[in-house]
Amino acid sequence: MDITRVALIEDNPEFLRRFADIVEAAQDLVLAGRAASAAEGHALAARHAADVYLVDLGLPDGDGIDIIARIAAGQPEADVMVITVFGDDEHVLRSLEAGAAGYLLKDALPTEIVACIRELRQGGAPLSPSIARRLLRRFRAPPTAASASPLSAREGEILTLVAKGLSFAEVGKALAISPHTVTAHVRKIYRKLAVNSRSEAVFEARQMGLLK
Amino acid sequence: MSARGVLIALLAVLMGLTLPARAVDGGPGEVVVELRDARYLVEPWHEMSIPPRDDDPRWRPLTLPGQVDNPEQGLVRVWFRLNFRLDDRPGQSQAVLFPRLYSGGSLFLNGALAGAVAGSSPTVQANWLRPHEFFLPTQGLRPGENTLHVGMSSRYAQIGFGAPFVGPPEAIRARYEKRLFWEYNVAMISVWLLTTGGLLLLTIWLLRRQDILYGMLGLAALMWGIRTIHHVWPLVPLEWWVPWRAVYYAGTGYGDILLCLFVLRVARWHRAWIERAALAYAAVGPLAMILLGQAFLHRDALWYAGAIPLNLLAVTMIVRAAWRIRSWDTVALAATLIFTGAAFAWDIAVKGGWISFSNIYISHVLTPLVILGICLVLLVHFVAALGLAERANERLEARVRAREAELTASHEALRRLESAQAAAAERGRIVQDMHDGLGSQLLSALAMVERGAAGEREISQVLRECIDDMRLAIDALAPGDDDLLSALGALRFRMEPRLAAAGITLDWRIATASDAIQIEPREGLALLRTLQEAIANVLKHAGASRLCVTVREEGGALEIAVADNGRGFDPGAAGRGRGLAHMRQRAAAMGAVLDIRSSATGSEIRLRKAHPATPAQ
Repeated sequence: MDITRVALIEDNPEFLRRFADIVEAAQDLVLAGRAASAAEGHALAARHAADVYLVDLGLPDGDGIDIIARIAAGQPEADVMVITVFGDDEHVLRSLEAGAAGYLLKDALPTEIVACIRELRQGGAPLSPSIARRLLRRFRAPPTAASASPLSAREGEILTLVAKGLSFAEVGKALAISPHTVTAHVRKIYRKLAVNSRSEAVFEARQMGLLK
Repeated sequence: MSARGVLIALLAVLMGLTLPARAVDGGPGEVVVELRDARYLVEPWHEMSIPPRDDDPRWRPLTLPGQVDNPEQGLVRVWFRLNFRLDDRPGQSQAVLFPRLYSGGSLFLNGALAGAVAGSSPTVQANWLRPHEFFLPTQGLRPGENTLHVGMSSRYAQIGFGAPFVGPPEAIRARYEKRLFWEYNVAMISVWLLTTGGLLLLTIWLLRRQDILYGMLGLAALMWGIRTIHHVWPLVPLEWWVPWRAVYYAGTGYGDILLCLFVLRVARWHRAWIERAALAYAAVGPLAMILLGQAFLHRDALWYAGAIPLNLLAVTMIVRAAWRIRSWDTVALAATLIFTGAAFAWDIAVKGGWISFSNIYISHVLTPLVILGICLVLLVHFVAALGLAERANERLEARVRAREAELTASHEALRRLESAQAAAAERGRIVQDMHDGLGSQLLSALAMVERGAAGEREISQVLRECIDDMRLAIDALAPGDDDLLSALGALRFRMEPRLAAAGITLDWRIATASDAIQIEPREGLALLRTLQEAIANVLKHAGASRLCVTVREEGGALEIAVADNGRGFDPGAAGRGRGLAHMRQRAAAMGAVLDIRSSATGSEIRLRKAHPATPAQ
């Protein structure tokens, strides 16, 4: 059995302990490191400490988004999930754009958390209807970057169905594909969002004359 | 240069123009002789004519520039005989200048015809308002006494040609040119200026009927222009003579009367009956000419004299107004008018022979300038009015701009107030919501803990419910998304793992016509709360293995049903009763119907709300 190394970057000690307990309780997960500040988080990322990073955004000395971006750039084979209290769209979307592959609610059940991490390592990613809706809107916005809508037709269908409230299994049934394939597609969509946001940033930087 | 400057310059020109009347007859040191002693002879008009013999007893003496009375009312021939001596300059040619040979005639030098100007005849009326000169060649002249005979045909009451001048041709030509310019060329220019200027003013009046002054002045100018035509139309066929003379009288009469009325109006002296009477009086001259013909020609002075009171009145009133108001334009107008009056007095005096009949008429020189001066006064007033209107416009625009700014500001203030009120109302609702939802849940949790009735499981349960309620509020109230389906999806996304952990299979059915259910956020939250509570109840109490949630939008009505295959419950039981009462309360608050059925094999809670959709914005 493959062992997944998990790192926690979270400033609230209660939650840090809860997540640590849940990770340690799972047989296939091992706690590779914990950080209670952005500085420690960056240090963890710098030495490629883990396969999966769970990152809280509101750190006392910095923004979790920076850590996510750093991991996505420096350790592409690793997965990042953002830990959030309410799963509100704006934070999640920013994290996805920075390279996160999904999000976890802080009060999620232990089984949910473990299942999420496993799914992540198998190439999947969770997606809530409201995030799906936001993604659709984001991708349908008039293309500011060089590319037109970067989504494939299938990816668009998946987002639309999830946004309507369908589960991955129902989406798979509706499109005659396996739920596993659905999660793989969602993973791809996230990646495209991150790339898209990066190319958009480059495009805008060029527009503003920051890059030549 | 100011308008005042223009007018002063114009007055100076007017004064300057009275000079030609006196200066046309040249300066000192010229070897020109004025012939003043003459003899005359009146005879009936006949076709062929040669001078009568010198010993004819009808010859009478006359001192020039005197005139001869016409004994008849029609055409007569008058002969004049003049002598001049050429003692010292034998063998040199001469010339003779007749200042006012207005009726035309034939000139004989020492009995031989020396020249002729077409004159009046039974078919033509001659009126040459210009000088004439004749060349006297050397061979016709003789040393010592020379005799000139002039034969004139005329219908005028008084007949004459002023005092002729004899001298070297160059000197005579110079005098002739000067007179010709002032009498003939200037008259022609006046006709053009007065008619075109008059038409221009009349056009202005036609465009602005309320400005009657333009009309009066325009008509006066036009009349003067028509009248002045007689200066440049010397030979009128007799069948045209009477109508043309009537037109001439009309031009003179109306030109004068209208100018007087104009001046009276400018002087703010306005009597309707005087205006009507004066206009009627002006018509007397032309009508009399048509009716009486030649007979009136000899009495027109009476008609002219009748207009003098009005002219005096106009001058008096404008002088009085100038004295009272002392504005530069009334003063200028008064001065101009006095000049014009003087010019006409001069012309009448010349015509009547009270001052030398050799003098030229000057009124036709002055009238265009007078009209021009008055036009300038009007123009200055017009420009002033224009400036006034512009300033008024500017003030108005500034005021409008200020009003607009005020309006925008008050709109902005109103909008801010409204949005502040809306925000305040929204905050009130959120506070109310926290009070009803989260607050009461936390309070009951606290109560449970304090009386020691809560185990770890119960506390975690209550806290989880609190968090669920907050999530629901966030989903429902998040700005920008009023779609109930989205919030329902989020609810399902959260609840499904919990149901799965409890071993309950979720059957989630959405049947809507459209991709979204637009609903007012408050109502959406109430719906979601009811639904969440129903699901939570199934999780806690039902012991079910299947849960079916159905959302159906049909014909404008929204229906949400939660059905399970659990053991059912007694709607009247104490513990469940409070939760159900809560649900009913919420349903009633949003105008929905709650239907609860329960049996040993399961229960169903059905919420129906008519017309849930709010019109899309």
